[in-house]
Order: sequence, then C-alpha cells, then structure tokens
Amino acid sequence: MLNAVALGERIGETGPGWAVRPTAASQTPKTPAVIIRPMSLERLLDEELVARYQAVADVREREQYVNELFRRNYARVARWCLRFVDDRESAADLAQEVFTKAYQNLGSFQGQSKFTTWLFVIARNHCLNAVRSNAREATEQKADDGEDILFALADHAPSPYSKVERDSSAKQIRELLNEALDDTERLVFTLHYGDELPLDSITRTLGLENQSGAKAYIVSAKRKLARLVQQWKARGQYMEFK
Amino acid sequence: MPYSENLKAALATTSECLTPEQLEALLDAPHIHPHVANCPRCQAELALLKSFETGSPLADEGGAVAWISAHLERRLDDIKNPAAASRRVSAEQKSLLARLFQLDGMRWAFPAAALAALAIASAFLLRSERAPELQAHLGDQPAVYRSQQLMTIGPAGGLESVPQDLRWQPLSGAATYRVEVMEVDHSKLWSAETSGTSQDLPSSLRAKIVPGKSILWQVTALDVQGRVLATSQVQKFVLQSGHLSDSPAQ
Repeated sequence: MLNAVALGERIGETGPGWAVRPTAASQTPKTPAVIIRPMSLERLLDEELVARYQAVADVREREQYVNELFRRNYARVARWCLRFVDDRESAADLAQEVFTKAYQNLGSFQGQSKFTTWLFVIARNHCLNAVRSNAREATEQKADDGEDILFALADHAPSPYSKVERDSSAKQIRELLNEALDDTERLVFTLHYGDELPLDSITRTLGLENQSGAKAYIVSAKRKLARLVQQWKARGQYMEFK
Repeated sequence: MPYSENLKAALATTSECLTPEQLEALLDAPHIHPHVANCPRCQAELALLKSFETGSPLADEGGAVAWISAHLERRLDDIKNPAAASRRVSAEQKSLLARLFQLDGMRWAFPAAALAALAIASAFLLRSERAPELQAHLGDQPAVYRSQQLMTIGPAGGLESVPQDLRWQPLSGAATYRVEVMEVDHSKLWSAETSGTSQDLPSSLRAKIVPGKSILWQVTALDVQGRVLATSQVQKFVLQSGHLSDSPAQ
C-alpha cells in the first residue's frame, strides 16, 4: 500500500491507493469523559461531533453524535456511490457498507484532516474495489483495453531485474502524459488505466458533459500520445530500455 | 512485465505523492502545488477529492440521492451493528418454517391442519379423471427468453438488421420499465424508462450497432413507488457480419 496516511486504523482495503492506518497517537489513552452541556448538534462541526463521540462514555449520547454526523454525509456518500454503479439499489448497498466501515473505525479518527476527507478515503477505496471486482466478473471482453497505446509505450517495458530501469520508465511515461495531454485527458487516462475505473463511472465522477463522455478523452489521449512518442523517437529523446 | 502493469506502475502513487491531508489543503489553494503539477496520480486524487467534497447531484440523480439517504436512515441500526443485522435477516428467513413446526403448546395444530388440507386436496386431484388443460400453442410468436420473473422477447442472438426496438413481456404490478443498453463490459450506452412493453431505439444508439459488435440489454420492472419488482436476464445480440448499420456513425 503506497503512501498511506495516518488518519486512523487500516480499514481492510486492498489494491492501489490510500488506506488508513494506525498511528502512535491512536495508542494514547482517551481524555476523561466530559460533561456535555445541552446544545444544538447542528452547531457542531463534523470534527467536534467525532471528538465528542470519542470522549463520551454514555452510549445514548455517543449515538446522537454519530447519527448527526452520518446524516450530514448521507447525500455526499450517496452521490459518490451513484457515480460508480448508476443504479440506486446497488449504490445504496455500497453507501451502507461505506458507513459501516466508517462507524467501525470512527474511534481511530485523529482529527488530522477534515472528517469528510477521512470519509473520502474510505468511500474511494471501497467503491473502487467494488467496481473493479464487478467489472472483472462481468466482462466477457474489455471494450477498450488500450492495447494500442500500451504497445505505443511498449519500448518502456523495462527489464524485470532493474528497479532503476522501472523507475526511469515510469518517470518517462509520466513526462509523456504531462507533455502530450491536457488536464482532463490526463485525469481520464489515469483513472481508467491506473485505477481500472470504467469510462461510464469516470464520466459521472468528473461530470463530463460531452456526448460520448470519457471515451472521447481516451481516444484523443491515445492519439496524442502516439504522436508524441514518434516525435520523441525522431529527436532521439525517447529512452529505450532493453 | 506486461505492458498494462508497466503503465499502471507509472500511474501509481509514489513516495513523493501527497497525502489526503495535504491534498485537502490544496482544495482552495490559489496556485498549483509543484509536485501535483507534474504528477498525474496526485492530479487524479485531487479531482476525486473535489468531486467528493463539492460535487452536486447530476441532473438525473437528485431523486436517487434522496432515496438512498432515506434508505441509509432506515438502516442506521444495521450500519452500526452489521453482524446483528445479518443474524436478524437469517433468522427472519428461518422463522416462518420454525414457527410452523414448533411443537410446544398448540402451535402444531396449524401446520398439521394445513398438511391435512394439502393431503386431501392432492388426493382429490389425483383421483380426478380430467387431465390438466394445456396452454394454447404459441404458434409463430417470437421466442420468449425466461428470466426469474421478467421475460424479454427480443432482440437476442445474431441479427440480420439493426433492431428498431426492445420488447419484453408485461409484468403484473409494474408501473414503468427501465431499459438499459450496454457494451459487453456492461458500461452503459443508453437507458430509458417507459410504461409500455417495448422501447424504440434512438437513431444515435442504432448508429452504434455495427456488425460484429455485441450489445447487451436488460429491463427492470418498477412499481408506482419506483421500487424494483424484477429484473430480466441480460440479453445479448450482435449484428451479423455483412449487414450494415442503417445510420451513419455519429
């Protein structure tokens, strides 16, 4: 798992991307329970609700805080899940699983980020894993497996024995992407080939409004990359790994 | 190393990439961070975080967001205690049979009476001389492909021309039908809702139905409250080679 961030406990996700892992601070004892004066829950920030949830021993009071916290974020998570599956029943199941994981790990939230960022990490990892798993089960053949662009970048296939070659190859591919593609093309390309996110999900997640959505960006990205590879080769700028 | 793995490695997170906390700080930053400017991975993560934080519902998803929010509110106890929820669902599935066959008290009388009635009815039917009536022959009606409840009519299989519409059998209690047309990887090409039992295909979609390309479709029956009653099996058709699409490509 790369570059995991210390926002709390690991949440059992697999695959590339972020996970939440334990920190030394999470081992410190909780502050003693404090007397919470009655006040409107609506006035509390998300992070204050979590802090009170962690501090209070009374179960009923704790549940009030978490109920308020979750209700504030129902729509945000629902929207997110709909981008990944596009039917409300499946999205509801996904959203329920996201909140279940959040609830199970809420005790480890350290307040080093906004609560919504912490929730994003959970939702992102969970939905990406779910959609990748579904795509593998359902796919008879990939509609657009990008073989042509992968062949265009084939000269970058490094020796399996050299980490230096692998790192150099990855660096040069990133340079190719940065030079050849505009911002949206690069985003779509990264999410599709890096995260295996289906084009339909990318279209909705990025709010693309053109007729063919993310697919158009992939087509133009592949064309531009192929052209740039040829230019680099002509200039001798193209490093080959043998 | 396979090419796809090579590309994936180039697009993966590196040790220099920013953490979510650091990306969070960039959401409202006036200028772009030097690392993010050159890192497709961090650019993608920042875009996803922005989408999560600030995204408003798309034009067609406001109702679905409200429905899911209501669903989550109803399931709040299950969210907090999924193990208990799972046990409860399992217990509910077993409870009917369990209640029927518990022998304490007088509860045995009800299942016993039901079994007796069933035995009498069976005996009566077996002694009847009349054979059960056969359903009328369907003649040259189109083939019917059965799903669990909702049956599609067509198109399916190899086709000689681009289909004009999708057709299915009516389902009792259905108020509307949601039709979805997909590519073979199940990515959506087009969808529509109708109250009838057929749906014309728009010319923009028909233009995409080209020889040799497999197309999937599925229909879902919804009641008046928008709840799913049944979903058909996914049907697949393909325009056979040598037959051209009737519309120019878009």
